[in-house]
Amino acid sequence: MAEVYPSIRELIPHDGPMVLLDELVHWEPGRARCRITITPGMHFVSDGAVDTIVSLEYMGQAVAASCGYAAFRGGNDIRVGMIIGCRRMDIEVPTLRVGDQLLIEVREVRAQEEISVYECDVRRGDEPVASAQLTLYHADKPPGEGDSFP
Amino acid sequence: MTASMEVRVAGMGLFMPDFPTAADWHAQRRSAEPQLPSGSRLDRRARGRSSVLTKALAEAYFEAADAASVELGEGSAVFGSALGEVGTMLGLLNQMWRDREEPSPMAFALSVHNAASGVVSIATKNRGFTTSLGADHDTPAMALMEAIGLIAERGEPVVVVCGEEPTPTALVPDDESWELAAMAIALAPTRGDNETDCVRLRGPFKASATLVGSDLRAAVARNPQVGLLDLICAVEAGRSGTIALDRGRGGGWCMEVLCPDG
Repeated sequence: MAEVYPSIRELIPHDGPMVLLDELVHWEPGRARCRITITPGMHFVSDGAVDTIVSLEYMGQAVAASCGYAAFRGGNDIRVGMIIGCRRMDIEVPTLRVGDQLLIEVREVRAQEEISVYECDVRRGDEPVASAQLTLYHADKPPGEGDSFP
Repeated sequence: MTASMEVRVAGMGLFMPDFPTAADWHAQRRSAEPQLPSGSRLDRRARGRSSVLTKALAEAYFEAADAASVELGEGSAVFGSALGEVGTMLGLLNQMWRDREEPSPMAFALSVHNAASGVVSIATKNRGFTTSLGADHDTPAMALMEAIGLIAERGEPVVVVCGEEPTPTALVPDDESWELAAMAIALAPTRGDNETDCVRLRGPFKASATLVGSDLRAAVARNPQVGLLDLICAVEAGRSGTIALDRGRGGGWCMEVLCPDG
């Protein structure tokens, strides 16, 4: 039976309209797959399209979902993460359209308490959209402070 | 168009803890103790707040610019680094997220990728063109390409300076880590079609290298900027041929070295 995952809003520290992903669809240690359908009114959509560079944020949120579900399973609080580096980003298509359904897959290359590195791919059906290696900085979410800096 | 254009090597500079100048490197005159860059040409205020990387880049820049007699107030410069001021940036993030302190505005200003180019251009009251870029292991190639484009457009010397601070341990595994190094090469327009009394460069372009990079310690060879050191070594040795700018870890960019007797 397919695993039922919590709502994406329970897994990532983002809030309000900055929650761009729809759901976590697969997770195993060090690996996750998320889905997003681009809809009108979504952040970064303009004239029915979104620049594919925004997939960098989709990748970052998919890493957050992967870490968030690992924390959920362990009974721990979710943490915040910031993209501090992006290597070898390849963009295969210049823009994405409203209605496009994307799968974002992230695979842990290495991870420590403070820093992690993930290989990330975004696909539209069988079509590669973008890929990159992200480096992220992680920290505990301040208690009761949302996502704002101290 | 610029890929086939020839430029002249007008000067070189270097800072490594064991070899604080290009002259030391050329003579293989190793320091008795590893040195930190002093940033001696920066004013006291800038020197006090600049990172090790900024000071190392400044040392290499000034040595190459002096050798090329570049007018410091007017010359162009291209600064390259793969990770840039990453140590300062991680320090800021720790300050905000681990120590729960307000971030330091000064540290923030000096955490950006163009911190070194800003500090150096302020120190020299430079009104010329200056830019900063990062392209992982292709940083030397992209910095040289930018410089040669500038020479084609402006007809003036350009100092290319690339460097990397010691690897932050949290960011790169030990077996991939590298030591502090900064290298600079001042390029200038050739003086005529038949110029044969100086070393000229052509490129960057993708090709198979005909020259082998220098025999370096692993912690130096792993530095993403090592391609610029290999180019400097080829120039110093007077070896003509094609030298790789990435030691096989980037996009395969090379530079052709044309030496008078090479």
